[in-house]
This record gives sequence, C-alpha cells and structure tokens, in this order.
Amino acid sequence: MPNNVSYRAQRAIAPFSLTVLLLTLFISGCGLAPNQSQVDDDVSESEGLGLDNAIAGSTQTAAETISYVFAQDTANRYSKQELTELNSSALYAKVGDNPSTTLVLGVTEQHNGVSLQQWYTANEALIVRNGRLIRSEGLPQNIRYTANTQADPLGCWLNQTPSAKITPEQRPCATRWHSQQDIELASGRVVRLSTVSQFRWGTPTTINTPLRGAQAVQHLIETVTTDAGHQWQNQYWFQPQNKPYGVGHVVKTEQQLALGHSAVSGTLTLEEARY
Amino acid sequence: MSRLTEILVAGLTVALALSPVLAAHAQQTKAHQTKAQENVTVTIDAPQHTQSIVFEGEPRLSQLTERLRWQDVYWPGARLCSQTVQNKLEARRAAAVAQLQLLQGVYQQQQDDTLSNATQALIEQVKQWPLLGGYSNSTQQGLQPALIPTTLQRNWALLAKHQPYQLSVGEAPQSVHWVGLTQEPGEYAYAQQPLAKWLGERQQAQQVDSTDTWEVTINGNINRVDEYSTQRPPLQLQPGAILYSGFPAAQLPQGFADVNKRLLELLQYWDHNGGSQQEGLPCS
Repeated sequence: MPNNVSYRAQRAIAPFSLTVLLLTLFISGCGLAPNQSQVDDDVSESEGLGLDNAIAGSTQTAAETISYVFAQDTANRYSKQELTELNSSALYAKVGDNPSTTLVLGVTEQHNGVSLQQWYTANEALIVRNGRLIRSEGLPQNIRYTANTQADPLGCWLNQTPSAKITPEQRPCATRWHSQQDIELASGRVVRLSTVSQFRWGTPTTINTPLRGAQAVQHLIETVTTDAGHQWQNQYWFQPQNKPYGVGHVVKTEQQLALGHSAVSGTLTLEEARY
Repeated sequence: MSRLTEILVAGLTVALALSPVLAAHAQQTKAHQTKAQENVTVTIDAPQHTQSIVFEGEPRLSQLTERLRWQDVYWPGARLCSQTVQNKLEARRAAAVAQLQLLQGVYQQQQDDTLSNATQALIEQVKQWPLLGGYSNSTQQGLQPALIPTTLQRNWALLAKHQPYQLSVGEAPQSVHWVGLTQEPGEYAYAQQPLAKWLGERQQAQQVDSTDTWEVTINGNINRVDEYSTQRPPLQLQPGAILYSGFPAAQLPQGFADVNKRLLELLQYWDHNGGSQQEGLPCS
C-alpha cells in the first residue's frame, strides 16, 4: 500500500495529471508531436526485438499503478465544485470496500446502438461497452479480453422499461448470453473464465448523483455463472434513452472483476459523477 | 571608389561567401520538410479484412489502433511488425539454424543417432516456425490500445525509414503449440488444466522421458515448466502458449549451452495471427 506521503503527493497533482492527460490525448490524437522523431527513432531501434524487455514481464507496471485507483488507502473523490470545473464527464470508481476515486472520460463513441467509452486515471484505463467493463489496462490485474460482445444483449436491456404487459416470450432482448473473459493477474498469468449470463429486472429506485441530484432509475440484474460453477451478480441502475439506436445511460453499476485471484479482485462499482 | 560603392562591394562579398552556407541550409530545410511529409504505408491484417493505408507523414501508433476500436480484437496477441525488424528476426533464425546444424554434426561424430535425428527434425521445425518480428512496448508483447495515446513514449511514431509496417491482430487463441524435441509437434486444443499435468500426459503417450520444457506465453514471458513443482496453485496452461521441449543441459556439448535460450527468444515472436504466412504482406 502506498504511504501517506506518496498519497498526499498524488492527491496534490491529481488535477494537474488529469489536465496533462487530456492535453496529451489531444496532442497525440492530433499527431502533433514536434521533435519526437529522434526519441522515437531511439525507442524503435532499441526496442525492436528487445528481448530482455519482453522477458521482464508486467510486474513493474502493476507496482507503479498501485497508488492510482485500485489499492489506494484514501479517497480521491472529486468534490462537487471540482466536478463542475472539470471539462469532461466523470465517474466515481471503487473496488470492494476500498476508497473511491475519480475517472474522466477520454473517448466516447456511439455506433448502431452501441456505446463505447474509455475512462482514465493518469495511468489506467477502463473500456466500457454499453455499461459493461469489457477491458482494462494498467491495473494490477486486468480484463484483457471479453468475447462475444457483439451478441451481448445488455445494450438492448438498457433501452427497455419493465412492463407487466410483456410476457417473457415477448421480451425484445435475449435473456441469456455466453461469453469468455481472459483475466491477466498481477503475476502475468491469464485465467480464462467461460460464463453464461442471465438477465432479469430488479426494482426501480432513485439514486443521488453529485450534480444532477436524485435520479429515477431502472434496475437490471445479471446473474453470471462460470463453467466451474462459480456465480455472482452484476447490477445496473440506468435510465433508458427510448430512442432508436440510442443507448441507455448507466447511472451506477456493480460488476465482479474476478474471482478471488488477488487482493484487488472483488466488486467494481462505477457511479455517475458528472454526466 | 565612393563610400557607397565600398559598402555595396563589401555586402556582395559577404553574400557570396555565405551563399554556400545559405544554400546548404535551404537544402537541409527542404530535406527536413520532405522527410516530414514522407508517406508511410501500413497494412492492417485483421480477421475478415486486410487493409493497406498510406499515411501522410509518420503516423503515431494510436492512429492505427483507433481504426480497430470497434473490432473484436485480442490485443495481447497483437503485433506491430516492420520489414526492418522482420529482416533482423530472420537473421536470428538463420543463426539459430546454423548453430543447430553444428550441434547435429557433433552428435553425428559422437554416433548418437537419436540426438542427431532429433536435432535434424528440430532444424526443419525452426525453419517453418511462423515468426513475426514485432516491436515490444518495453515490458511485454501485445498492445494496450487505450493507454497508447496517454504518453508519447507509448505512442511511437512509425518512422518512414523502417516501412512498410504491418499490424497483425486476431481473435482469442483457442489452442497451444508444442514444439521442439517432441515426436508430435503442432497445435493442440487449449484446456484449463495444470501445465505440468498436460505435458506429462502427452509425454507419457509418446513414451518419452520427460525433457526440459519451457512455456512462452502470448505476452512473451518465458517460464520453465517444472513437473515436480510444489507450487500451489500449480501453473495452469495458458491460452495461446508455445511449449518448447528442449535439450537437457547435460546433453549439450561445450559451446552449445545457449541453444535453448536462442530458440526461446525466437519463440517470443511466434505469429499468433497468421500474418507472417499471407503472401504480399510486409512481414511475410
């Protein structure tokens, strides 16, 4: 765990880091990188077939990220004022009972009823498709791959509202989904989970958001069963968009990261901070 | 000569003296501008479509990966290759084959037919291994596309002098490969089970003694498989892994101690997506 000194330093530089991150995303996305040719030349020359580097593994990367989101010992949750000043959408994220932190939206795209978002801290990224975390990068352990996302009915469910008039046979969205996840542990080993998801409605409720206040939301419960017989629930509280090809807005979600393979496994909670 | 004439003459002299310097500077500027605008060709080799793109100037890595944002890509298996790197890799392969040929000669001299034949079979394997000379990102193979644009170090420029480039991506691996000193090298279905158990069952089926075996994971890590390991939980077979059964150290003559290491280093560049076997691609 990080010591207090490093945490204080991190908290102090956090707004700066986010600014730098957004600036870097902008610059590199635009391809404006003056005077980098020589640097990149050196990088390319030294790392092409860089065998020693390849053998080193990902342990170092994991160690560096510990002070960012998923194992920090104090909350890094932006205040209402900070969120207002932020020039981006934001999420609060936390794992298990750990303190929560703030992520900013780096990329968002919608295409044929599918929403793809990339959320960032200074050194970590969560890739969310229609409200589901399908990949992560830079964490101590990562979801490297989620299979069969094209057939994932979650996006369909996020545009529905439960209705007593609709029988289970008339439901417009599939109720089962088969997938597979490759999870890379901090050791670099990969665990492959084959899963079956089943969806059902929960109870509509109200959730408080920092800037939009209380929001009425639908509740969807996804029961996930692995081929080894483990079972857990992912939950989604959302507002349907009710538009053709629209994607419902997830106000809060709880998703299982992995099954007890390391200290950071557990339930990942993502909540709307700034819409 | 009037004062004005003197000044004009002096100015002309200075201009003439500096003209080669100025011309050289102008040439350099022009060359720099030409270089900056040099086109770079990249072939994206993805399942169901191969696409060749010509970039104006040297693109950043993110400009390639962003094009695949909506594709179902298994990023740990992604490889960025250039013709320059592929040539280096082929030179390494040739050196490894040459070393194996020398080793086979030694076994022949020692009249050890078993090892001589096994080495000959291995030589043929190594020549056929699908290898793709990928750049590594300083810690491991594979790409992390969301983090690439966050720093310039991750977001390399694809230099014109190394082109053409090839970005090979594929689907999640459903198999492992077993190569080296095995009677049945090839592709096997991936199964979730302890690595040593998987290997032991197949060695038993081949009625061979256990050999020294290593795994090369899809992200380029090399681990020795120790069937007597008491590690709990035991190491599990990894999807996409390459298992290499090599020469036991005791059977390697003096001067050949690094044979296994050289071959393992080649196997880190195993082509998981088949891009090295398609004709017409930069790294095929």
